[in-house]
Amino acid sequence: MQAPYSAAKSERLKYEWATKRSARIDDRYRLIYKICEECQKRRETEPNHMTNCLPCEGVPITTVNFLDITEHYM
Amino acid sequence: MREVRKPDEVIIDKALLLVLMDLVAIRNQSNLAGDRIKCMKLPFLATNQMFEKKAKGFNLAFFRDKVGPLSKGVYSAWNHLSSLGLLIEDRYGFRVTPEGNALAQAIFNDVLCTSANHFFKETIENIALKYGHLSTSRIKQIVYDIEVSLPSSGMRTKVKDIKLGEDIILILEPEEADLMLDVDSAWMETLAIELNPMNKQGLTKAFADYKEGRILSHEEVWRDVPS
Repeated sequence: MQAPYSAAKSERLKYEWATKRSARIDDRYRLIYKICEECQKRRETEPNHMTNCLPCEGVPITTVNFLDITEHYM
Repeated sequence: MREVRKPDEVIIDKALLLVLMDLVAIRNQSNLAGDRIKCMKLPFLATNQMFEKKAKGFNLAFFRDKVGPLSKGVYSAWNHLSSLGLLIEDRYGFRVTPEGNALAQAIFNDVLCTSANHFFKETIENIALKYGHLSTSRIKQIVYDIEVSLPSSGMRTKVKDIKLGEDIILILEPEEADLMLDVDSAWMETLAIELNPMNKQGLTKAFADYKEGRILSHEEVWRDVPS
């Protein structure tokens, strides 16, 4: 993933998925993923938001974890 | 105007209905929003107030049924919200679960409390405050006595005088609306996951796998893909 923050209309999700991102693969599918770098930054600034995120120690900061592919609207 | 909702309108309806039912439960100082008839008439009152002002918040189409205004969209929203564990139904009616209350509060604070959505927040809050504590029979009576403009003719008619099966409220097209609920794309994406049972289950399972370390590296994923 060349530009995980901006690829495919990437949006930082809200509420319980606040550390994850959603990107539109096409008109039908979205990709849910997380960026370790973003998680780490948010851990420093918003520690209360991190209950839903794993520690990233030992993981390269550029790591992107793909979590799920879902359909946009069903 | 039309009868069938678009996918993003379905998501907004589920979100607003959850907020309305949660506010009614809070108004009643319990987790009980009310029985099916009451929980159908309250969104009708809110949708009607929005429709009269050409404000596009709820996107529910209502027609005249034997027990007053009815919307199939409300039924499908109840089913989805129940299957997500946000509502439960018992012999007294629908109750908002703690998870439903938490999501409703987040939507209320983050989406409805913006200055752009002031009208929609006020409308939903006022419906909950004004009618939430009333009995089902009293609400039915109030709804039957309300005058609405029929979409087919524009004539002002009391709900009780509308013939069975006739449309009472249709869905406004964006260009017909003077005001539209503003939901930013990050919240729309979030609600599309939170309020869709398949998406929510899929992502919850994926996150559990991730937490348990069931992760494949980029190389492992591509190793098994035929070139």
